Amino acid sequence: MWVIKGLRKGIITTKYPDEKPTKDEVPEIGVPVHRHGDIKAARGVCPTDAISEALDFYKCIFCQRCEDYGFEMTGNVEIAEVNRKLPFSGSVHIFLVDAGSCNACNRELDMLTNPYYDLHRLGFFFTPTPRHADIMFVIGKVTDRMVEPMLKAYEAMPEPKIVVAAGSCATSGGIFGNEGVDRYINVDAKISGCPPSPIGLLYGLLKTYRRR
Amino acid sequence: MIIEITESELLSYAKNKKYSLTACFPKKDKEVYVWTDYTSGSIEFVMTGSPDIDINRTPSQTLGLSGQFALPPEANIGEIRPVLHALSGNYNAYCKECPDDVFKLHYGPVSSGLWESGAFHILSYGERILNVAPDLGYKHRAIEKKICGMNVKDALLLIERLCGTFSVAYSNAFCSAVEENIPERAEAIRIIALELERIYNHIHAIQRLATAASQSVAASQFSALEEDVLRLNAKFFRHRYLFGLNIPGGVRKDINTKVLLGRIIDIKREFDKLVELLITSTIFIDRLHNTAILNVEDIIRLDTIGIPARASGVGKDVRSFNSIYTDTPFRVAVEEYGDALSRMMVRITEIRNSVEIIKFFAENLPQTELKTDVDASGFLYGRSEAPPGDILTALEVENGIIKWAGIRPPSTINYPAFAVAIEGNIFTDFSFGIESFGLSFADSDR
Ligand code: SF4
Ligand code: SF4
Repeated sequence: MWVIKGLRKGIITTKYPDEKPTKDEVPEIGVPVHRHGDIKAARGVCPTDAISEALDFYKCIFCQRCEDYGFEMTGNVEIAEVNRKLPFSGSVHIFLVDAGSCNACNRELDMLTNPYYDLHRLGFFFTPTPRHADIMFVIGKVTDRMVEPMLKAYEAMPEPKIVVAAGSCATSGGIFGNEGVDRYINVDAKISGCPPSPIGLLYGLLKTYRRR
Repeated sequence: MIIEITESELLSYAKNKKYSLTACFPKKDKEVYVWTDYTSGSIEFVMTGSPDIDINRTPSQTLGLSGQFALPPEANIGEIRPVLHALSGNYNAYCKECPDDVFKLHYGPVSSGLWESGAFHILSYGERILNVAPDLGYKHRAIEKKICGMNVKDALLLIERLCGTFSVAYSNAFCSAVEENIPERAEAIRIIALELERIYNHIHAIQRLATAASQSVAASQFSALEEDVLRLNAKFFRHRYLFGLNIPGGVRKDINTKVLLGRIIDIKREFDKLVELLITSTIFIDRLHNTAILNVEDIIRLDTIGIPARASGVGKDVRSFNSIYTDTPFRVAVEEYGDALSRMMVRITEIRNSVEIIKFFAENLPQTELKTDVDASGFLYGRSEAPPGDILTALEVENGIIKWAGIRPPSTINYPAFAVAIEGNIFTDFSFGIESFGLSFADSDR
C-alpha cells in the first residue's frame, strides 16, 4: 500500500544541481546585499560583525536586521567555500558531528534524505561510524564537552579525509561568539547559513569533490 | 514575585501533589523553586537556601549545567521530586549501582542513532533494560549566562537559537515575559507560527517512529510532508525554522493569510491520507503498543509535562491558561494508555487541532499594528507550549537590560521521564521509546 502511495505522489525530487533551484526550494532570506544607505548604521545593528568592507557570509546569521539599513535579503543560498577537495568522486560517506548545535542544522541535514532532495542519488551517504567516513561534517558551536569526542572521531577516520563546517556556529561561532570549529581542527570547507538550507548544503557538498 | 520561604515550607510544597515542580534556578547564592498548579495555571516562585551552605558549592561536583549549582539543594526534596536532579544538572543521581552480571553501556554522545549529541548510561540484563540514566550537558552553551547584561532585543537572537526547532515557542515565552501588551494582529500571527512549528515537529516525530520501525516508504512520505511545512514556513515567514519572526513588542513582518489557508488545507489532506495508511499497518502499531508506558502516578511523581503527560491522561498544556485561546477551536488532546502509541495519537490529534487553530486565526486576523514599544523592568516570566511540553522563562530586567535569567526547557523535565518509561522494556524498543517523546538535546542542555 505504501509503495502505491509513493508512486502516486509522482516525482518531486529537485532538479538541482542540473537546474537552478526553484522559488519553493530556497527560503526568502539568503545572503544580504548592500543596496543603498550608510553602511556604518547597518554595521551598528549587526549582531555578529558580519558587515565590513565585504560581507562575511560565514558570520552572518540571517537575522534580517540590516534590512532596515539599506541591505536586501536576497534568495541566494548557494554560498560555500572549499579549500581542499576529496581526490575522488563516486560514493562519499559523511560522518556527522554535532558539536553543540541548536538542532536546526541537524534537521536540515535530516531533510536532505527526504524524497525532495534525495541525497543518495548524488552519491552521498551518512555513515554511523567515523571508520568509513570521507567527510566529517561538523555543525554547531563547539562546546567544552564536545571537543574531545570531535577530535576522537577525526582521529578514527581513514585518509583521505576532509572536514566540512556548516552553519554560522561552526564556521565562525555565529551568534555564540567568534570561535568556529577551525579553532580546534583544520577546516577544509565551509557552508554558510543559519541553518544552511538543503540547497545550500547540497551546493557545498557537491563542491567537495567535483568542479562546479 | 519571588517569595522567601524556609526549608520546611519548601518540603511541604514538595509533598503537596497539587503542585508540579516546574523549575529550579540558581540565583546568586540561593535557589528559586517554581511550582505550578496545572489545574488552574497558577505559578509560584519561592526562594530558599542561605549563604552558609556556600562552602559546598563547587560546580565540579556535579555536571552543573549552569556551573553554579553544587549539591542537589535538598537531598530529601530530590527524593520526593526526582525531577529536581535533572533541573539542577545532577544527572549522576539517576545512575544505579551496577551488579557484576549486568551489562553496562554508555550510549553516545556521538552516535548515529540520535542525530544529536547526548548520552545515556544503560544497564541491561540480556535483552531487558534495567536502568537508564540520562547523561546530558554535552551541548551546554550557557545561554542563560550569556544573555545576562544584554538588552532584550539581542538576547532574543540567542533565545531563538537555544533550540532552533522550537524557536517560536522560545521566542514567544521570552517575548511574553518582557512585553505587557502587544497588538492583536501580532499575537495572532505568533499563534499561527507556533502551531506551524508544532505541526512540523509532530510530523517529524512520527517520521522518526516510522524510521525506527524500518517503514522506509512511510518515513520518506512523512519527511516529504515535513518539508512541505518547512517550505510553507519559508514562504510566509521567510525562514524555514521561523527565526527572526518575533521581535520584542510584536512581529517583524505581516503575512498573506489567503494563500496560507489554501496551503495548510492541502497539507492536512495529505496528512490524513498518510495517517490512515500508517495506523492500519499492524506491524507498525504492534511496535508502539505497550512500549515505554508511563501511568498517571508516574506522571505525577516525575512532574512530567507536555505530550507524555497528555498521553497518560494528565492534560497539562499551558495554552489552556492563555486567554487568547478561549473561544477558539483549541482543545487539549488527551489519551489514556500512556504508551508510545498513545503519544503518537496525541500528536495526530494535535496536528489536526493546530490546523483548526491556524484556520481560525488566519480567517479572523485583526487589523491592527504589528509592533509596539516595550519597556520592561522587574521580575518577569513567560510560558509557552513547545511541541514536546511547556517552556518557562523567568527574567530579571532593569531598563531593558537582563540582569538574571532562568530558562527551563521541556526536554529537561521529560528525559528523566523517558528513562523511567523505558525501564523493563527490551533493547530494540529503545528507539521507539525515545522518538515517541520527541525531545531534543539542544533543548535540554541549553
Ligand atoms: S542579516 Fe543580520 S547577521 Fe547578517 S549581515 Fe545583516 S545584520 Fe548582520
Ligand atoms: S548555525 Fe544557526 S541553525 Fe545552525 S546550529 Fe548554529 S544557531 Fe543553529
